[in-house]
Amino acid sequence: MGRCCDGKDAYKPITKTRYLLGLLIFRLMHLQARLFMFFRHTFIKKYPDYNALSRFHRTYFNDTLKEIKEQKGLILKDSPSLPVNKFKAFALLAILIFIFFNYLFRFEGPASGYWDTYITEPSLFIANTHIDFVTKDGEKLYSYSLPGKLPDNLINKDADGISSKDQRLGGAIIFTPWYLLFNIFGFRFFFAISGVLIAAFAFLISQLLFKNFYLSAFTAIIAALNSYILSINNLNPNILGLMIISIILYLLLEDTPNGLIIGLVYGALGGIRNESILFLPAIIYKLFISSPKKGREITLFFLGSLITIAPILYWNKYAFGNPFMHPTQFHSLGGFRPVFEHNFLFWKFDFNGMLNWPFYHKIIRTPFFCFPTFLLLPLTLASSLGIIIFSLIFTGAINLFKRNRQLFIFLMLWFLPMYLLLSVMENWSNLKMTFLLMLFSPLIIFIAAGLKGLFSKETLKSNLAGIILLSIAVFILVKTLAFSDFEVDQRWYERFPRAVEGKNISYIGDDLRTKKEDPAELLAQKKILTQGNLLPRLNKTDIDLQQKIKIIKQESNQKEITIVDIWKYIYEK
Amino acid sequence: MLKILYLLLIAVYVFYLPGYLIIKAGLKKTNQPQTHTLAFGLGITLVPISSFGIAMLLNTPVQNNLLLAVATFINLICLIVLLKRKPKTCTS
Repeated sequence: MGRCCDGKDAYKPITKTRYLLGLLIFRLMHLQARLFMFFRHTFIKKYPDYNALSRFHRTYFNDTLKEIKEQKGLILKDSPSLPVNKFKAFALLAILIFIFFNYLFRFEGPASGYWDTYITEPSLFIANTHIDFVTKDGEKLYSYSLPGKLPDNLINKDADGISSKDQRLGGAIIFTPWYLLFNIFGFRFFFAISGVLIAAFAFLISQLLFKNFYLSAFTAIIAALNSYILSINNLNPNILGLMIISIILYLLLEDTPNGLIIGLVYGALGGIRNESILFLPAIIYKLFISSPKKGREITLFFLGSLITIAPILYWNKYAFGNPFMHPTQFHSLGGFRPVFEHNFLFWKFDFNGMLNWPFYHKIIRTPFFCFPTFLLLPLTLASSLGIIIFSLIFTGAINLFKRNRQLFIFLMLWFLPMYLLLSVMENWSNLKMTFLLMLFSPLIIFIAAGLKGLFSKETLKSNLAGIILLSIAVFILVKTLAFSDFEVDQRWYERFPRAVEGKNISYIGDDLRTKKEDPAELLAQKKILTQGNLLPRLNKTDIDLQQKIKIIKQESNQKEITIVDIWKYIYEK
Repeated sequence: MLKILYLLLIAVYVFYLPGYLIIKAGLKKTNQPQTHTLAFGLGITLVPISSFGIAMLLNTPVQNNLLLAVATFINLICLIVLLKRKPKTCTS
């Protein structure tokens, strides 16, 4: 008791768990002393009077224990209970377990498409594992060896160059420890854990704001089991993004947010999705309105962000020559990646992406997609969630605007900049559509706020009327859009010349195509998006459980994999 | 089975414990279930990026030993913060 509390903590209540844990530690300490004496006496050096020593120890232990047990004035209290009762806790656990196995079994394996290849490849190189690169036909490519150190492992001139290509390195970094611990199965395992954490944090955020178990459980299900997220079966940085955004939002929504911890997590998010810089105004606003010491928390936030983004900035400097360069803009990545002229008011610039109006002179759509992105995003959401839940976003936003203006402003500051950025982007793909997940968290909170309005007698009628009216309005709007027709972006065929009829392979989304845009396919897509389904769309997925278990067993013992050098099929002429 | 248990224990040490200690050192007001979820969330985010940063500084790949060392380092730093902040209690 060198540094005692001078008695000021005496007779303060302690929990039963803590008391029992203390007793256990006390017993273990004596057991340890006893074992030490026994082993020393038996194997090292005999005590002259071992029996007397043992007797003394036993008596000393028993007396002390008796003294502890007879101690008067101890105030024992029950351990802090779960915020929900046992039945509810088990129900929540069952939901999370279901989500875990759903994600675990529907995962299609690492390196099966474009984005996930450039998560898996650098991840294995970070862990110093050799990869065999092959063509689509299985022919072996490249003869190379790894230098065995970072960051050198990540750029190999004898192999495919920069291993993360135009993707951000953060996703690969997050997956590496899971690969190290669980081999190839680590990718699948962490994919499943991401799903669980998305649901868990949606539950916690909703519980923190609305304090209603059923509402929070529903929010968790919507967050992790909606039909859109269930259609993503590969490693995807936006799933990681959604998971980390949920953590940041939870930390920010606490009574007194901790700037340093939020900054540390935000920096990690920045390494996965550079676009998360757009969340900065919302974070600063929330820290400003919630922290008693605003300046200190905001400074600590920036410090924390700097610590965890520093490795990424160093990597950018090493690989692209500029710590702030977005990997997609690096001119020396192999392949044909032309730039296009854009302008906004009097500002003209060249960009190797394809932006829509107002950066282009007219509104266009990407081939293979029936709508421009600014319509695709809400239509995909409405189609996945169903029009009723989609309408809850608006009633929830109205509810928050009326009752919690600061939270409303915070969530809008979070949502709007990212939506505006995505809405002008074309050169779209099914993979890029998953950017929708970056917008998901504030929308989930709005949905929960919309549902909360239905739980109170005072607001039930007005909210119900609002949902019905909004559902009708959204339904009419969605159906009207079925008649719209947007011009195809011809720049796309210029950028991906293989897509032009007569050439062999083109690339769209996460699969390789050998044909031009198919009008029948486009019509089918439009039909789904403008169907106007009131309830969530259910995707039928057939999972061969036995086959999956076999794959999992194989993955857990598999250290190396073969990767198709997919980049050359996308960008090389 | 033993191997799985061993790996899960390592995963708890590498991902959960650092997150838990960061919370204890940085966030004072948290109740039990939230603490555990948050601990795991923080651990899986911060330990990998710290390991990668340190591996780059040391010019070495990220390996199991480095991962354990980084997790231990974070745990120790947080423990020191906690011990410095909290005086020992007694009942007399």
